[in-house]
This record gives sequence, structure tokens and C-alpha cells, in this order.
Amino acid sequence: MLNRKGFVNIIKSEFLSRVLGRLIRSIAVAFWVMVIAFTLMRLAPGDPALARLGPGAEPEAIELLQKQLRLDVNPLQQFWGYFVELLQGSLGDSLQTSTPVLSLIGQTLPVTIYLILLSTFFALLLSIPIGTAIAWSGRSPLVYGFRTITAMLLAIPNFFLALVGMLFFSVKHNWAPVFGYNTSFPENLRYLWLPVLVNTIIMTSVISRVVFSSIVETKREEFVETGIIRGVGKSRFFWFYILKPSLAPTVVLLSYMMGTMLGATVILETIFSLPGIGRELVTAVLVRDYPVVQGIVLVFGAITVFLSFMGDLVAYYLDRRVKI
Amino acid sequence: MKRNKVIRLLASVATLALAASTMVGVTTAAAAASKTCNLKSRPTNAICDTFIYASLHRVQSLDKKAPVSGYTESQMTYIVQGQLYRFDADGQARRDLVESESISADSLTITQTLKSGLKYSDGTPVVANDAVVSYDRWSTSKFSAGYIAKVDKVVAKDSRTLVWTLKSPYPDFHFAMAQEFLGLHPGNRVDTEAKAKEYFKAPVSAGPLMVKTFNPTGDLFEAAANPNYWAKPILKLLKVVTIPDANARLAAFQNGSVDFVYELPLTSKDIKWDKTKFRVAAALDSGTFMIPINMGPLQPNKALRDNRVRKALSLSIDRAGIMRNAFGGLSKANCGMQYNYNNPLYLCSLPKNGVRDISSARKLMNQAGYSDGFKMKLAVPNRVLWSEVAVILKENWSRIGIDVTIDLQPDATIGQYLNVQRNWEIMWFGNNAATPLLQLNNWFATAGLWAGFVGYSDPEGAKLLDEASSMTNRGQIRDNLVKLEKIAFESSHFIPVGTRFNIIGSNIAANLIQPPIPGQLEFFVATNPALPRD
Repeated sequence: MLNRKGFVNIIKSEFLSRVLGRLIRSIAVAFWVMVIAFTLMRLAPGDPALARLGPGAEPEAIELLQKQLRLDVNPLQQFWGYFVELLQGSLGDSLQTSTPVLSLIGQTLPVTIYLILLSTFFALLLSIPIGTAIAWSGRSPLVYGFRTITAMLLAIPNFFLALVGMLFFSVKHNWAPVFGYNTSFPENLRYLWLPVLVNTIIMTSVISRVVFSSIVETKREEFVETGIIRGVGKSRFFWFYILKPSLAPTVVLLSYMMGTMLGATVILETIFSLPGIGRELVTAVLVRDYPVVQGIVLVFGAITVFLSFMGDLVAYYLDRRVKI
Repeated sequence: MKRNKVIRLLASVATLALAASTMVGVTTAAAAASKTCNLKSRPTNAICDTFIYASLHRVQSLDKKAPVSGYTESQMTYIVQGQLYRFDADGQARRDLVESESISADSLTITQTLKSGLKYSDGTPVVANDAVVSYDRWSTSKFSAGYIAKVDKVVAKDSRTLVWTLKSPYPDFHFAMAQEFLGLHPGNRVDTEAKAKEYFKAPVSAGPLMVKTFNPTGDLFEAAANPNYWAKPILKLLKVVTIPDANARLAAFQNGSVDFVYELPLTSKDIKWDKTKFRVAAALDSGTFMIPINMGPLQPNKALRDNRVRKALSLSIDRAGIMRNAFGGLSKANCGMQYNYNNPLYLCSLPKNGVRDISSARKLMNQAGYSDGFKMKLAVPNRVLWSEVAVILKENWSRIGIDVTIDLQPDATIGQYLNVQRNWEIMWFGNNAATPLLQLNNWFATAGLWAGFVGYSDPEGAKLLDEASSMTNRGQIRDNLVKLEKIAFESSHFIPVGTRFNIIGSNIAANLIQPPIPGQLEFFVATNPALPRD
């Protein structure tokens, strides 16, 4: 007969095997992201050698540069060469500047990470109390007002908010720099606060709605009624019976949002001239800098997959009904 | 319970502290741009501490033979390298490192003597052989080689003397000397490509400024005054900051964070600027907006092979409308091929001075057998305002029955169309050059840049142009160009539309620090003494 210890061991090993399986699937996803990025770049019209030399270049000069950049071999050979380099820990060199792609990513990724983390932190700080309070009160005018305001904020494009913010805070009042960045902390916050504010407004609109819906759903669950009947203490009731199970969808959404924000921050990085990875990716795509695009997309894929995985783990911790 | 309360309190304090820390520097946002130069400064009395230039592109290479990004890189390469001749603020070629020059009676031998005591920024002497090495690099680079096509050879007679031998007289010789491709660097450090690649990571300078900060992957480039230059620049430090968004550049200019902006958005012309602090102007360029038509064997559109159809295209476009509606009326419609700015050779060679003539266009289409029109694909680089032009052209040509599909592409793809695929039909683009003859050279010379792209050069036109390039009498040159532009309209494989321009903003006086006007690939910083006006 299975005892409690044995039962726990089974659960643990099943959990571990699921985690392992998920990890393996994540690596496979990252690999396919790399293949797709590699293929799409080669399918896109435009030649990196031409992009570098300009339309005035002679065909001989273009051919020579193509040879130097190993673009004259067939795509399969190019892919194999790239994959072998990847296994050796190299993402290649930029076709434009010959800078190692890893080094470029090392310079630009921290800027974007700061932007995303700060935005996420403040968005959570605002959305959880707002979403919870509105859902808890249940008063129609409040709910209606909340839905209307968040819908309006969601409809406003982030570049519009960014430009209006720049006009007000930078041009009119000179409270925020228009451009520039300082890599050291906390000096970089001076350049980040306005783009973080823009991001936070948009994220708060999304997350607070999810928190709101989640809490309204949770309130209808039977175990909540049971808790009330059992006379569970207020704070314990609120945290364990309402908030904790309601946060699971929020965490899953958050992990997804943080992953997509890696690419979505390109607009803010361009408007505020932040030297982030999103802006670097767009520049690389426009000049057909294959290794940079492939490297960045691979990193995006890996981070997104990792965040999604961590999000599911945390959601599982918050609510055991969630499947990994 | 008590423990939980303490934890909650600590968490709240930590949150507030972090929130407060993000407001660091909120009240002191703007970087201070130089205040020692302003709109009233003059080259003779200006001393500018720092000048901040907001650029669209990063500076990623300082070697003209290995360019990476856009015109800003060219401009910075120019200002931190030595030049035999250098463009002044008005785009005129002036002696820089050349002390004196003599030209033989037959105009085929030019002897230049360099100034004495010239040194690079690291103290290395500047010698005549450096110019020979630079010429060799240029002539083998295939970049705008047309500028030096008339040069036979150059030798360094001694450390200060250069002797140029020409194949035929070349009135535009000084313009060639002033090009950014002939920048001087220590010859023994750039005489092989491997050495040059290493050298250009941290080049020295015989120009007015020298490199202070150069990071090809960063958004900041700095150049400081070169203490070894023969004259004293009015500027101590030039900073180039990359601001890719046009509206952000405008905002930076408005709030005083930058001193100079190139390529402001069109909306900036409608802002009520404080004219005591800001100077915003459309800077006309030595270039023509134009419509090239593929004349090569891979032209897929049969209709465009007929010169009657091409002429009809030219007659049916509303040049004034394009310049007014797409470019805010900031530049002029053309009535001839060449750019219409400070150009004494400008000709109105188009029928009815380029004014739209739909009925004549329809007649030509009927004669060519296309009374019902045809379909056509117009390739357009996706630069600022160019997509608006494409829409207007589409409407213009619909009036003569042509159904246009707009193919908007980035420059890299357009380059592929021109150089590799060669099966494009018709395109919107521009043609720039330092002088009118060099511009016409691009179009009509046998080895011209655009003649190569379209795959055609009229032999008679090329001959007229070659003769004109060796003439010194303006009347004779004009006669040749009248004939040339007539041939140009008959063929109409290049359809001129208007003169190119850029909207620039500056908070210092003109003729102090700017790209020279016309032109955009070079940069000018006033010095004392100034470049000599011979």
C-alpha cells in the first residue's frame, strides 16, 4: 500500500519529469526559432554586401565582399557553418562592423532588460491593487469606469504615448532627456523613467484587467464559499482563497508579455534613442546583417521560452490546478 | 501578525524608495549644448566649446573605401582627415593642405606644393607621398571613380611636391581634389588593406578635427580640435549623437539638447520658431530627384522600351504638384536635368519648361499604340516622403491610362534591383554630385554611375559631355549641354522632377559648422584663418 512518503515521491518524480520534458521542448523550440530566423533572412530580398557597399558599388566589389563574408556558398552550408560556430559558443560577427554578435548583445540586452523589468515591476505594483480593489468592490459604476479607462489606454498606440510624453516632459518642461543613455546604475534611470512610464501605462491596462477578471472568477468558486462558511481570518482568506489562485493567469500572462516586450520595445528604443536590443535588431534587418539578426532572434527565442517556462512554474506554485 | 505587519511596512518603504530613485535627475534632463556660439556669431569671432549634431545614422567607419552606414559617416570621415582641397560652407573647393599650385599651359600638368611643417594629430609629418597612396586607394576602390577618370597619374616629386598628369583638361579638378575619397592619411599605415583595416579603427588626422571617441556600435562620436592643423578651428569639441526618430530629433532640437539637426520632419517648417535662437531652413542640395527607366535587356515592360512612352511619362507628371504636396513646397520643380541651385549652367530643356501637358502625352501614347494604357511597377526606396511622391506619380500617370503598382523597398533591396537583378521597370530616386558636369556625368558618361544602372549610354551624349568636361569657356560648355539635354529628353530614360533638399535646423549662424551647401557628404568647420579664396 502506498504511504504518504511514497505518494509524495511519486508526485515529485512526476513533477521533475514534466519539468525536464518541458526543458527539452524549450530547447527544441529555441532551435526552430533559429532555423526560421535563418531561413527568413535569406528569403528576404536584399543583399548584405550591397547594403554595406551601397548602390554605387561595382559588381566585382560586391562579389569580393560576398566571398569575404562567406555569402557565396549555398544556404545549407552557411547554416551548417553557423550551427557549428554556435555549438562552439560563437554567434558570429556583424557583417557591418565585424563586431562579435555576442558582444553586441552583451551591450544592448541590459538596456532592454532594465526597461522591461522596471516596467513590469511598476505595472504589477499598480495593477494588482487596482484590479483587486475593483473586483472586490464589485460596484457597477466603478467596474464600468475601470473597463472604459483601460480599454482607452489599450487602444492608444505606445508610440503616440511616447511622443506625447516626450513633448510634455522633455520639450515643454525639460524633465526628461530626449536621447542618450548611461550604462551605469542609477544614472541610467534618468534616461529610462519616461519610456518606463509609457510601458507601465500600457502594461497596467492589460494586467489590471486580467487580475480583475481572475478575481471575479475566483470569487465564484466553491472553495471561496467554503472559506466564508468556515470563518477563515480576513487576511488569510484574502491571500490564500482569493489572491493567490487568481494570480496564476496573471503570472502566465506576465511571462508571455515580458517575452514579447523584447521585440515590442523597439518602438520605444527608437523614439528615445535607447541603445537596446530591439533597435539593434531593426537596424540589422534593414541592412541584412544576418549574423546579428540570427543571434538576436535566437536570444529572444531562448528568453521567451525560459520566461514562459518560469511563468508556468510560478503559476503551478500559486495554483496546483495549473498544468505544466 | 506583528511580523507580517513589519514585513509589509518594509516592503512599502522599499517600493517607495525605488520609485523615488527613478526620479533622479528628472529636473535636470537636458544636456547643455554650447552657449558660446549662437546665431550672431561670426567665423572671425566665434569660439564654440561643444557642438552637438543629432544624426540619423551612427558613425561606423572612418574609411571611405569601406563605408558602413549613411552620410553622417561620410561627413565625420571628412572632417577628421587631411584634404588637399576642402569644401567651404558654400560647397566651393578651396586650398587646404596645398600651399600653392601651378598649371601648365596645356592644362595637362598640375604641380601642387604642400604647406610646410604639416603634421598629423599624432605628430607624424604629412608628406606628398601620402596623397599618392590615397589616390591609389581611391582609383582602385571603384567608388565614384568618374571624378578622377581624367587623371592619368600622380607622383610625389619630393616630400612637399605633387605632380598630377591629366589625360585631358579638367576644369572640375579641384572638385575632385576636395572629394572625401582623397583623404590624406600616413601612407605607410594604409598602403595595404590589412594595415588600413587596423589603422582606421583609430585614425590620426591632418584635418581641422581629430577623433576623440569612436565606437562603431555606439550612438556617440566625438571629434576634438586638432592642435596640429595649420589653422585654428572655431570649435573645440564636436559630438555626434544618433537619434534615429525624426520627431525625437525635432524634440531634442526644440529643447536645446542638440545644436544641429539634419533631416528634420516636414512638420517642423510649420512650427513658429524663435528666430533669435533657431535657424530652420530647407537646404537645397546639388542633386535632382528623378525617375530612371531600365534600358537594359532585362527590362520586362515592353512599353517602356519605346521612347514615345517615356516622353509621355515625362510630359504627364505634375512636377510642381509633387514638390508642393510631397515636399511642402520647400524646393523647386525642375525644367531641365541639372540641379537648380547655385548652378550657372542650369538649363530649361524640357518642353513647356516642364509644365504638365496631358494632351501631348496622350498623343504620344496613341502613336506608340498604348491608347488603352498598360501596367507598370514603380520601385521606390522607403525614405522620408518618397512614398508620398509615389502616390502622386501613380495618380499623374493614371491620367494617361497607366496603372502603377508601387513597390516600396529599403535601400538594400533597391541596390539589389540596380546591381544584381536588373529586371526593374521604373524607379524614383535622386542623382547628386558636386558640380553640374559631374552630375550629368553620372547619367550620360559611358562609365557613369546611373548610366551603368539603367544599362544605357547614348554615344553622342557621352561625347558632348566629355568635350564639355574639358572646356573652360562657359558659353561653349552651355552649347554642348543644350544639345545633350535635348538628346536626354528625346530618350527620356531619366526624367527630372525637382531639386533635392533637406530640412536642417541649427542654433548657430550659417557658415560656421555645417555640411556644405550644396552637398551633404562632407562637413565644414570654420577656421581662423579661413580656407583661402583664390
